[in-house]
Amino acid sequence: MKITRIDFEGFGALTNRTIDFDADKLNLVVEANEFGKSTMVEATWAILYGLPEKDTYKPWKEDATYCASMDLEIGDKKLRIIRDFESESVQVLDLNFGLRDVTPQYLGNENEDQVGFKLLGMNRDTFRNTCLVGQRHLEINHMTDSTAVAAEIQGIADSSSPDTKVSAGLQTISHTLSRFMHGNRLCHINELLRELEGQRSDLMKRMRSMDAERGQCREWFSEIQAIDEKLNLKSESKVPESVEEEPAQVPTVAESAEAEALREELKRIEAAIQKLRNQEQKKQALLEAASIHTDDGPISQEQMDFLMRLWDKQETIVNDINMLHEYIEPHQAEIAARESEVMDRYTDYKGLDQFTNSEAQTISTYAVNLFNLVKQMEDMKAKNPEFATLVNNGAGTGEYEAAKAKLNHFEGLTPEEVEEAKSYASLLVAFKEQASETARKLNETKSKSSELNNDRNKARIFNIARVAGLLVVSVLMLASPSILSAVKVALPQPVVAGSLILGLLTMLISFFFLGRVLNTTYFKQDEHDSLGQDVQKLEIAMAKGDEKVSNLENKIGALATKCGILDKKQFVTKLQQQAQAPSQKETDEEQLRQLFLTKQQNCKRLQSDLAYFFNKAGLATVEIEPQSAIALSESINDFRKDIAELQERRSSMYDHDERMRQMEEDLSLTEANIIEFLDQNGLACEGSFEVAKNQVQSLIDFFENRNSPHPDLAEIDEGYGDESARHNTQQELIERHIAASTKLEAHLAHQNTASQADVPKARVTPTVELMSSKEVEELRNKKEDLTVKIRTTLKSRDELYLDTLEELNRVDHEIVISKRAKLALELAYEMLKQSSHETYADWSVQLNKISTELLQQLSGEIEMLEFSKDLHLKVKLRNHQNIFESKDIITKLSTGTKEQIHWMARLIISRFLSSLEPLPIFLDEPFSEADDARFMGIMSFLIDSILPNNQVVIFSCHQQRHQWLKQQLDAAHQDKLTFKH
Amino acid sequence: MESQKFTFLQFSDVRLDLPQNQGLLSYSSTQRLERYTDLIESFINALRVAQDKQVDAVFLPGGLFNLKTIRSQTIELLLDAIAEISPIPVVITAGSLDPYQDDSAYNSDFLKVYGIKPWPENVHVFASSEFEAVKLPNRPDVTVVGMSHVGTKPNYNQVLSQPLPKDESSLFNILVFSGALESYQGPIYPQLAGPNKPAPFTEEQLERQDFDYAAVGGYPDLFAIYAPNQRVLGAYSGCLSSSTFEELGPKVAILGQISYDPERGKEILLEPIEVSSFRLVYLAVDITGLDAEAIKEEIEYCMQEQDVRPDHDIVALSLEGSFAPEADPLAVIKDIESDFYRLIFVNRTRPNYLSQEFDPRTTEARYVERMLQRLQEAERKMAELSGRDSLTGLPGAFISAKTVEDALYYGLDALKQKRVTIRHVD
Repeated sequence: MKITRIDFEGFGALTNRTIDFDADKLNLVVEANEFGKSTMVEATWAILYGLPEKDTYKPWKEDATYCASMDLEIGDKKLRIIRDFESESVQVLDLNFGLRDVTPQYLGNENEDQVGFKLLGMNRDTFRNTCLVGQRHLEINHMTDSTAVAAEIQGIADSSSPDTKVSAGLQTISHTLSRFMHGNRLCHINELLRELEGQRSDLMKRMRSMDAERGQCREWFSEIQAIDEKLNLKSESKVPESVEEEPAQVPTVAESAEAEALREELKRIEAAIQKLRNQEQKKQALLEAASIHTDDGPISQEQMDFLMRLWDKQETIVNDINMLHEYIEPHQAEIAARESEVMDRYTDYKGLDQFTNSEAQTISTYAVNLFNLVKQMEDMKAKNPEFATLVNNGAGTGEYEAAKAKLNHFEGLTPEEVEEAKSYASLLVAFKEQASETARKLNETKSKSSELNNDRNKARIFNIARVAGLLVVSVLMLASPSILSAVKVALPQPVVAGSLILGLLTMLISFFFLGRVLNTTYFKQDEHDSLGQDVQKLEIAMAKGDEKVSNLENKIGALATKCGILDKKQFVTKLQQQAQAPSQKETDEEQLRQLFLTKQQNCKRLQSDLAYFFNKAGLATVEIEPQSAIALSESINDFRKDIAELQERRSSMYDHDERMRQMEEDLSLTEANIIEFLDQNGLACEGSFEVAKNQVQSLIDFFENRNSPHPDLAEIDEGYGDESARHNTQQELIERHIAASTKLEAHLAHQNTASQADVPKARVTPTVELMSSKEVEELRNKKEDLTVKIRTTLKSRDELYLDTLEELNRVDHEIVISKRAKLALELAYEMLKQSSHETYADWSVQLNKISTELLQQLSGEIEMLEFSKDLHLKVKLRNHQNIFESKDIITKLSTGTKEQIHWMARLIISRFLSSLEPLPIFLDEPFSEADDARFMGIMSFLIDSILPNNQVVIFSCHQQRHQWLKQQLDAAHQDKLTFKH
Repeated sequence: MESQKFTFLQFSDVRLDLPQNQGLLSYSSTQRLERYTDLIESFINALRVAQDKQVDAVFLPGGLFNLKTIRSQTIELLLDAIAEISPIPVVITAGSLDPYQDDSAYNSDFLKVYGIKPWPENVHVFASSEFEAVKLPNRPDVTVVGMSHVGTKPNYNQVLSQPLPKDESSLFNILVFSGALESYQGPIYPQLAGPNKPAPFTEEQLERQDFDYAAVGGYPDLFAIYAPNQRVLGAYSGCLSSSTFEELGPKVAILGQISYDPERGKEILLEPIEVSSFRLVYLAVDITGLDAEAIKEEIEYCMQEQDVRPDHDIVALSLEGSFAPEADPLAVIKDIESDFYRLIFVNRTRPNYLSQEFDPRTTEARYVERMLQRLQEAERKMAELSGRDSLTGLPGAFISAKTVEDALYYGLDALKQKRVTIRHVD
């Protein structure tokens, strides 16, 4: 897609502006600050996608129409998009067909605006992420971290919204789990659940204890009832007085017979009722006899229910434990296998786990430095083979090693004499120089003197001439009147006088100059004298110098002779050679040598430092090579990564382990409760759950048996049917009893005999043995004790039980919602992670396809650019054998290459997201921080590598810089630039 | 015979000292004391109505108190309250959740041991699981037949399948018991959830028994029982005060009158009377597309519709629907909280992440798709299992649709907002 024109009727600061773009050139929009360049960039996506907030770019000029349009070419289509931001409407016109309105083609099913999406295959945020490059986006800092690049690409793969990254999302979820808000505090959710479970456990214990006490109270009350019955029966053993025997009035025969019949019937009914009751009692007795014999009697149904609740809980926990085991075991085996694999991989090393992260980085830094140093030293050795033998023994710098190797050419002379000779030679040189200087000065002085003499002579001659001339003039002046008068030329007297006076004056002057002539010292005599003195001095100095030179030469000659060199000059030359200061070349060579030695020293230091780490890793510490240091560093990093992965897997299992532990605790507690319960009820388990199991099974069997009809019970029921039949019979009997009683009453009332006599009630009272007073007293005391116990226990329960239950309900609810929150967060985490892995893997495949296609079309530095499964970059450059991984890209490649790689990656992603349609790229002041070299490099790259496929538009305020750029480029490249206004 | 009538007040399921913390309904200890007092007050108010109206009897078919948690101080209060209305007889049957036991508060002997005075003389407590008949001391022409749930083992037998000891000579025969009408479809107490209900019966069985009226307890809602010819057979008065979200709205006692006219026969009039000082109200407000002011208005409108008394009632306000992530609809709650006696806020809102378009190539889109699939699976499985989800977190354990939905939004919160808002909603 290429944008050819944008018209701004009114958009932010821009009003009635048009800008045309070239499709095949690098468009440079260079305008001053505050022109609205950034606004233009924003307008590109705003026209394509509309504005989420309508008034964001409302025109500054009040009467401007809030509207903009864009002409573009996409495939073989030429379209114009006109967007009215005020009315939030859009129109798409086909320029190939006379501005035909094709807007419906770019709307969705519900006529929603999908212009941008349908044209480009991506939504607004993705377009902004990939095609718009904001200010400072491409700072070098962006490329200092290998993970930052991968993170940027992952971010685009994660979401079309900017700043939406799965890694940050996962971190947020982890953070939420580890700092879970509960009440007013934050804590890890596992810690919270443990606390709540602990609270629950305590509360349950309290409840159980209080329930047990309540059960005890029930038993005590039963005892009290039994005591009451005993005490009441004693008092009831007296003859009941309820039935009064009234003297019967004599009834009539018929009336007596009827009354008698009614009484008989009542008796029969009462007997039948009693029989039924007897049957019932017998049944109860049989039931009681069928129950399990315990020391304290059979357990009640209620106790059995309680026991069954514990038993069910125990079974549930066992099932849960088994289920968890089944899950955990293969994972643990996997983790163990992985651990073993990791350990095996690093058998060459010992103690890799002892290395900290910073140590690993230090080793890496040292290794790289060592590598660089060794490489540099190899290069230096290649250029200077003699360096191969250089050894820095730490003797200090500035020493001429070469000088030490020089042979001593002065045999026969002691070192002192050689030094002496050197001194003489130096002095000789000095004196000779001095002498030549003196001679020069002498010559100079003499020359000056001679010049001076010449000047003096000239001055004299001039003066002589002057005198002569003046004399002549004076004579003439003096003689002229006479002469003229002789020739009878009359002159005025003044003239004559004047002539005479002038003549005299002239004569006087001439005499003055004559004096000068005669005075030989008047002209520069001092200077003459001074020069004369200088000459003398210099001559003396010369003489002395010659003398010194001569002496030195003699001495040197003597020494030369001593060491067998007849030629003094040769001797001196040799001495001079020895004492001569090094030349510039030698200085440079020495510096190079020193540099080499310094590098060598640094090398040794690094090796010494690395030796510590090598020793720690169980490696040999002699001859530490850079490769082995790099290998160690990489091994540590890989090891740490492997260990971190293992840790992560272990910690994911930790929760399960923790849960397992808790369940096992619960199981022990439940089993202990079961054993305790059975022990308390006389079913001794000897502390063994196996025994308890058997006891419980027996109880289960018993209760199952008990609930089925007992054969004897069946016999009892025979004749009366089942319980409901017996019940019906009883009801009938009761009704008949009531009817008969009523009738008898009415009859007796009518007869007016014993009208208010009560119907004698059937009373079946078991015979009771009479008790002694002592026994009665004991029973009463026991009852009182039991009453006190009951009251104390229940009062205490009154205060605590309801609150405890309320608290338990509250804690249960907290546990439920916390567990639910934890489950939900963990599920979200796993699903996000899984989704991101799958997405990155998919993207990797697609991006690599596009990368291969694109790079085949280009001839730049990059030969291969690959995206790994987690979207890290791998690069191969044309002039390099190696493949550079992410971290290598950062550390080993130049800034310019890194930027190119970044650009290519961006381009590939843009191509992928736009469904393979090349999209324009808009850059807003992207290189403000770049220096000239980098700026040049990246612009050349854009022209060579990006422009062939994608339209590029750069907005900038740096006019001069871009003009400079144009000048730097060759003609072909210059042609690719176009400045837009 | 001239026309006669019999008046009564019926109420049940008072559940004195019932624990109040139930899920989202969570109270501080002070608030709980207030709630216990509210229950006692409702009971006393009901008795006061009986006294004011000078009814012939008060029927209490079950659920007077919570068996495990009833306290001595509450028992004393209720005994005093009942004694106050003496000589009006109070007939009580024990329900399945407060069954008669030797050591329960229904047994005066036990109360004596407990150090509490016995039941007043104007009280009759049916102590048998068999139906028994008693005559009202003030109305010998009225026979009351009743039975109690006895012991902890529920009776799942059809309780009205056999003839009951009715007195045909009585003018009025009243049946009082706590049972489960099989055709009832309304809410039930959580403790009675399950396929079998204690003391089940049908309309036909009740009709066959031919009582003049059946005062039944055991369900939380007011519910009349009719014969096919629309004759009133009896009624549930429902619980006297609300305790959970299953028991919403006004709760009542029934003021009943059975009148007999020799010519017209018997007629029954039932009048529900609200005696509880508060109601538990649930307001659900959809905030989708509303700003803060509009949300407030919507809440007010819902309150008016349900006749909410904010200074008396316990109001559970559930905000539902979706909102733009940058908005904060919950700020409204802070503004209105102080206007209520007790406001329980339930946040069921969700940010409207799903209304935006996701690029299908991105992780975000994949995540949303996967989670929605998982949500559908969970909903389907929930319908099949019709049980609770597992919170054990064990691999393979069933996670409910609610939890999956929470996970979906938490993930999107983390991606979009860089923070997760946990919803503590059951």
